[in-house]
Amino acid sequence: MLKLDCFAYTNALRRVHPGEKLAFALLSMTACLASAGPLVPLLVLALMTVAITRGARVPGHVYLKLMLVPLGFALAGVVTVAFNLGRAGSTYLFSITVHGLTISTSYADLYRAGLILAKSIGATSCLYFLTLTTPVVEVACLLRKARLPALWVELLCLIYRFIFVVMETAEKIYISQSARWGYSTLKNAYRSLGQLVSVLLVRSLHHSRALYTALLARGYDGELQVLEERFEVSRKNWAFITGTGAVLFFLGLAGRGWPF
Amino acid sequence: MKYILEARDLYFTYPDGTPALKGASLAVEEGKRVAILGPNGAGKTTLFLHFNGILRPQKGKVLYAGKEVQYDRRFLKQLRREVGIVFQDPDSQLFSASVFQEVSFGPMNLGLPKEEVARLVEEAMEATEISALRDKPTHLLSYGQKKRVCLAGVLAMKPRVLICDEPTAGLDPKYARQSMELFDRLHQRGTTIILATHDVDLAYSWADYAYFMEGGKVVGEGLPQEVFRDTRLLESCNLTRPWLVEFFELLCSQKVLPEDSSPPRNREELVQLFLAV
Ligand SMILES: Nc1ncnc2c1ncn2[C@@H]1O[C@H](COP(=O)(O)OP(=O)(O)OP(=O)(O)O)[C@@H](O)[C@H]1O
Ligand SMILES: [Mg+2]
Repeated sequence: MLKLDCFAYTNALRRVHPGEKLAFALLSMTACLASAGPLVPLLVLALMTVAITRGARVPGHVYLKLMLVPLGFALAGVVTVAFNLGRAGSTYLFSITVHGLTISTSYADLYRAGLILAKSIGATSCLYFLTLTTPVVEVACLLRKARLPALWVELLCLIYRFIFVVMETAEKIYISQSARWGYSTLKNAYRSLGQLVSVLLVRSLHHSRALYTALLARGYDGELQVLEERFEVSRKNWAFITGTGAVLFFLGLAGRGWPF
Repeated sequence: MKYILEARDLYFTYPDGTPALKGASLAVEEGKRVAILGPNGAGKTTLFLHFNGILRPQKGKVLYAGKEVQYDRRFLKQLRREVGIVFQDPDSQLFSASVFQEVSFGPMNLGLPKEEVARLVEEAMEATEISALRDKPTHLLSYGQKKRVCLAGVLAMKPRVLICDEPTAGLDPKYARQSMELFDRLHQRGTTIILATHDVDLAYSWADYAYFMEGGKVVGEGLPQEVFRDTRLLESCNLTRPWLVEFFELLCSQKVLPEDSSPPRNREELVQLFLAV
């Protein structure tokens, strides 16, 4: 989570207009999910992998590790689609019986499982593209432009900022506790953890009050107005985004699952 | 003499019953560099919060440019535009993860056009040398960098009076010196500057006028070359004498310097003094 956040600020696509990145991710994701066959999801996965590792220059091993997490979940979920309890129809591929319990699978089931797997991995790669290349603050700008209620967007930004403040505070308290043997035995650890949580709560309250004071001092009157940084709109990028989007949609829908 | 900010006999008790101000009075002249010194818990921060109307005194009054501060929306808005405060703890001032957005908050509240805001933000970021940090999120900045972002956030509003609560605490010597140079530049352009600090050497060399606070009251004030020789006053505020004063008095008592010479304000003046005898 923290690593993701760091890459969002340091990646090679940082200066690209956030709207373009969002459009790219969303279009590809929609094409991936709407596709009838597994070809388009696999294409999307390949496209995003290139965009993330070559375009944004996120190290390959980091990306691989990140992808393995959802892959594990997806595999576990897909197993229940691929295999049926009880004897399948006449088209079954194979079946085994253990203690009177029959597990079977068929081509259709395997195809369906594969499709779901491809779609979920493809869609995940799109989301990773967005989170690895676009800081939360800039996503929030887009949401504001999309006319989402200002309150929601402000809340999102404040929560995002506070996550780090709270984490830093927790870390400091933890370090100071363990420096005084706070976690040396199980009993100590329970007590220290309890204290940490309660102190964290009080600190957060205090912190929010101090923040409110500081905002007032700069003329806050109910709305967190900020100026957003400008980004260059690139025609080349938009041409690329609409081009790939069109091709992906065409392959996914017109082909109705071609060539599989 | 024209006073830009005046506190007259302020009393303030926090809701939990801590009496933070017990009859504090001071008057700051326009265009001056003022240092406020005092031990922890003396009430410096509390006093500052009265200067732009965030806290309201339970007794006494605050005057801005000769007018008594009114606690209605319009007056407060104007007051907060002209009196900027940079707080002690940068983490409690930063609300945005983006440096640029953070700095733009103040000028946006003034209702200026966007181009003007962008210009003010760039100017403030340049003055505090944080332009290179613009792409970094605030949670990845160091303490000193955060402090400079906070300063930029207030500078961007172009305040007439700049109040800084311990601006150099936590800064490395280079940036501490640069901040002081920045304050001097602002001072030359006519900004009144009020600093709270525990650093007697800094206050002695920099300030035009110094106030000492203790226990919620102003217990001493005067020109630095006079008040910083008052050992009893300094001791009552848990402060020591500046090294220049200490050294100067040693030289006087050893008859190296004549008794009636005035103490040097900085290293250069000390050298001058030496070369003269
Ligand atoms: N929000 C608060 N609620 C209750 N008491 C407070 C609050 N803020 C400050 N105090 C108390 O008011 C007194 C004055 O505090 P203040 O912060 O003004 O001191 P200070 O001179 O700024 O000290 P320092 O040099 O440590 O910053 C202290 O005794 C402090 O404990
Ligand atoms: Mg203070």
